[in-house]
Amino acid sequence: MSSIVATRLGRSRIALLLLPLLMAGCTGKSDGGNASNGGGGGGATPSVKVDTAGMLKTDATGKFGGRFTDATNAEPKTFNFIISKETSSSIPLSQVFDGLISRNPKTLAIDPDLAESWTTSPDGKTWTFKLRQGIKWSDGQPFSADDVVFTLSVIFDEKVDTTLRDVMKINGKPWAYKKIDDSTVQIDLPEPLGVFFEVAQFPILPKHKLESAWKAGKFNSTWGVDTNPAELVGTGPFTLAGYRVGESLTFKRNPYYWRLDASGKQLPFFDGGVTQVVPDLNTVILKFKSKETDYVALRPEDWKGMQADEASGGYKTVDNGPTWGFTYLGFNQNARATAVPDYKRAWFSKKEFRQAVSYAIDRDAMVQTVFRGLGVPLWSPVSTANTAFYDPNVKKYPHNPAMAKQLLAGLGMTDKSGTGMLVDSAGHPVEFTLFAASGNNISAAICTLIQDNLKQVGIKVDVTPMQFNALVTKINGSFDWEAVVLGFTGGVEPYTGKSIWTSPGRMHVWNPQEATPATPWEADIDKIFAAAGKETDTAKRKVLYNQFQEIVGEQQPIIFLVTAKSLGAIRNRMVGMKPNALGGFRWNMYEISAQ
Amino acid sequence: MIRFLLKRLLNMLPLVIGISFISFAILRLAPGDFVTTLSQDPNLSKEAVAQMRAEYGLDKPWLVQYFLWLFNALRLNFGYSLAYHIPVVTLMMQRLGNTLLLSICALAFSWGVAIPLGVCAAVRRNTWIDRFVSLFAFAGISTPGFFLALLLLLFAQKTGWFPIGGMHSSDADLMSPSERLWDVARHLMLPTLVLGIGGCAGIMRQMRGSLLDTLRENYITASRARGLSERVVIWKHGFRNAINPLITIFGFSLAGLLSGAALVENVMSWPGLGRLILEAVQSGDQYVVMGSFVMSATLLLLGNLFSDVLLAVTDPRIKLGRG
Repeated sequence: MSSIVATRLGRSRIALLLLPLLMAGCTGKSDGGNASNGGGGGGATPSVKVDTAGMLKTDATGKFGGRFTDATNAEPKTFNFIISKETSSSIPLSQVFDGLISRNPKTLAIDPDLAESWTTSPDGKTWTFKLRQGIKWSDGQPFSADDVVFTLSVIFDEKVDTTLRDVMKINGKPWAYKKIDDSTVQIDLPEPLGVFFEVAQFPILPKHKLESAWKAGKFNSTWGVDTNPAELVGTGPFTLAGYRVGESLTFKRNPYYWRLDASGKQLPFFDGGVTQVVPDLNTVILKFKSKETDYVALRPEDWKGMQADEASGGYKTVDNGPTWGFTYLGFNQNARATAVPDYKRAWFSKKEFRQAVSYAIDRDAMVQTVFRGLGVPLWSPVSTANTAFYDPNVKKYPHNPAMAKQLLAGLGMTDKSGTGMLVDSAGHPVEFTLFAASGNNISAAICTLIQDNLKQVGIKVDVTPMQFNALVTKINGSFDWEAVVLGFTGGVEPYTGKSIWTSPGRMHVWNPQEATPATPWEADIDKIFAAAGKETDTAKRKVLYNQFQEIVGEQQPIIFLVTAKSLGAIRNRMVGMKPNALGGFRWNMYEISAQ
Repeated sequence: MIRFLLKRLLNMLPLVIGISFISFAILRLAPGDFVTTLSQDPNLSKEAVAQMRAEYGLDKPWLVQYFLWLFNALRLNFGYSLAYHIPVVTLMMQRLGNTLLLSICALAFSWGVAIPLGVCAAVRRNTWIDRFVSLFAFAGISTPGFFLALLLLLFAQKTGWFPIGGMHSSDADLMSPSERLWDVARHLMLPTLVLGIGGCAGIMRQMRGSLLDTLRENYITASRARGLSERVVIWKHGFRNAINPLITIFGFSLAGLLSGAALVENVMSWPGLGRLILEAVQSGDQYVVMGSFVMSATLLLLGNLFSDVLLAVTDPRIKLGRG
């Protein structure tokens, strides 16, 4: 359900596929619980005799049995986790598959999953993962280092259609990896990678199920949505029991799951669950109201009404704080953009012009009108929710039309005609066309406010909504645009935004794929990112990220606007839900139960 | 008759190919393709994007892409979906049943309601019944389907009489077969109503108008003069002559059977083809779009043929295959 952002920002949202990690060099906290037999208390579970010796004991408590029900607004496109490219596939699949490690979205720490512990060499290039012993796939086959090596071989196979490979390669070079013994895997990186944990969260797939398809060159079309769910063998808390195409996914408990509750019984608490595909957001809420689902993500406009019905509806509303993404206003500063008049590009390339626009925008009013007060103004590409890396000293631009006018006057932009509208020193009226993705209420409302705010300082803005693909083609290809409002999702490590911030980056919106940095401050950002990429010490990386945020705050290459809060409602029967803006609602389904 | 059918079927082939060409051209001349949206992931390098485009065959000129597709389609291979990585035919077959179920119910509903009401309105022209039926028809035409769907869902949520969209309850896997049948029937009611009402109005007005024209004919007056009962006059002489234009409409409506109603399917969470196609058009999953276009075009032409044959059967004045 983290896809509420996706729906609201439309496809202007960009998914950062891997969840970034916080604590580099942290060793796994493994307190292997010793309990007799898991099996769980749920009556419907198959009675499998499972040895729980190698399993991870947690402090989760709850009642066994029952099912969860929830809704997702898009259907899975594939059950093959490695080739999945959209959250509508990866979110349900993350119940079925685990990685070696994962980041806990609540604490931002690394949780050891299939790997029990790990060590790294002093040069930061060699990583050795010790796997949890005695773990079995959901069909009872043993899990081993062979599966990890197999998964890596698949990911680095150029014929496999996966976006993971490109994220994991370092300067275009693949990793080396080998099995040391059945429970040890060694990974050799071509160069040290500061954010290694970020990319080490890939899901592990079963070699015994997929190797023949991969060898036959059919990996890309294996485990499509037409697959018999019994074929999908994972190590996650649930297995897929059934899929009604376009309608619902049914999960059932994985009898071999490796986490134990506080009393040493095998998790998960639920016997299973149902995720319904409900494309329309209004219908999603109606379904929750009629008690068909256990929790729901809400839009700001739903909040008041849902709060009012809390008692009668038997649920509680939750405010998870600001989301991790950002919306921005960007100006085209690209010298290759021949379609944009030179004098306009000259304005856009001036720091003072962008700062003036930033001062002219009333972000508090934006939060009030666009998000009904349920959002926050933004000053940095790092969300304020990112307690690890947000720099509170970043330069802020509170609403100040007088300051904006003063900055614009400094550029020779004055109101010569007495109409309140500015002209530049050569006599050109100060105006530009603002593109936004069509069919997106949020960006439409934001554009209207920008138009109004800038009119107050004498800048005329024409707003033109445009179909998303057409817009992207202009921004990345023909450069035929003046200004744009779009959004990005964010992760913990700002390094994941490398392609946005460094000058050769493909997503360097204001001037993509520069041969050499066009400005000194862009060169500085390039250097900071190069250093952060190699820096394995989190504290040192934070210093670098602070420098980066301060440059961006001063230069305003793109102007950060606002972000909504992550909101939701949870039925009272649910126990153990730890929703948050980064992880969504169901990330810890293994320890959620119902009264 | 057989010759006529063969000729018409053979004529369909170039027509479908022509339609597919125009559709593909429109699809590909719009800016962006399937990879455009994916390429917005900042984690992907330029090389990876180019590689993806090459792998999907999107780096070739669109004419080449079209003829490759056509060549395969003529051998009944409609390609793979770019988003799902499975054959287009498999993907569409998964949802065919759901869409057919809903559209046949909706078709039955709208014809079952519209024909009697249309006859009723024609026979009692200018009475309050006629006006009420007309009001109903115009309200049906002018309410957008997705809006009516949302209203009915709100109604369902307030009263609890109907499930909120979908095709099965979340615990359908635990039900007995007869319970499951009833469950599907309950889920079918609201979408059938929405789609049915939308289709009603046109048919009803057509029926009314056509029957009114017929009732003005001399042979109707003559039948009345012969002392035939009003029922025989209306149903045997009037209705049978008035039905011809409706048979043509019926043929056309067969084309709509499989294209589904994407917006209503969206609001009602009905797992049908319409949603799949809408999503494919939006994301640029071009072979799924082409597959559905070919299917719809073929159905439209078949429906047309079917109504011609039906006309020949019901109306002895029409002879096929002559002239």
